Amino acid sequence: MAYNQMDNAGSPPRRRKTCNFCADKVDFIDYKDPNRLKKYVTERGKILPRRISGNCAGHQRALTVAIKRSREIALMPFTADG
Amino acid sequence: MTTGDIILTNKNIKYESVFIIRPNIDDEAADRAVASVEEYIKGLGGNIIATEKKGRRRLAYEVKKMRDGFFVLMRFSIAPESVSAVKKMMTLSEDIIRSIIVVLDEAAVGTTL
Repeated sequence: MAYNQMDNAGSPPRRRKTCNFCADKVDFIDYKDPNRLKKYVTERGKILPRRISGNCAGHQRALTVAIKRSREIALMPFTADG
Repeated sequence: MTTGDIILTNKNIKYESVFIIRPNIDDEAADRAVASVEEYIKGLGGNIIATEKKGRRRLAYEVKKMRDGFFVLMRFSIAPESVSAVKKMMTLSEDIIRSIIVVLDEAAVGTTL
């Protein structure tokens, strides 16, 4: 997986990332499952943008709500040092 | 659908709540706190669908100087106008340090903490 978004010139077109939730046919993203949500935040606890996670708009929206609910009940951090 | 379609019938709506009980009380006191929430909901004309005590868990951040707590998952049905009273009761309770109440998603029925 290439992380550097800048050196696209000359390299073959990048494979379009697909939404993990669409692939699993998820229709409800559970805010009570921090282990699943953990993959979509940075080490600091920030929510990853769609451009990185590759989620579809609908699932990204649902995911954001889930992460925020999860933070409210201290299952996920609002912020983490490091 | 016309505008102002929110008709306040006496219909109960299903809600899901997760709340955290302070860890520095004994199990009986924790059970009493859970029971008091149940009683309160019933007192407002609600029904308890399920209560699951999920035990002690580490918190992702400090809440009222505490690093862990007893998690309780509760599903209930109550009239929408009574939810704010339940939320307030949880907030005012000394034993409950965090709580959330959300409308129960039909797809979320089988999920646990």
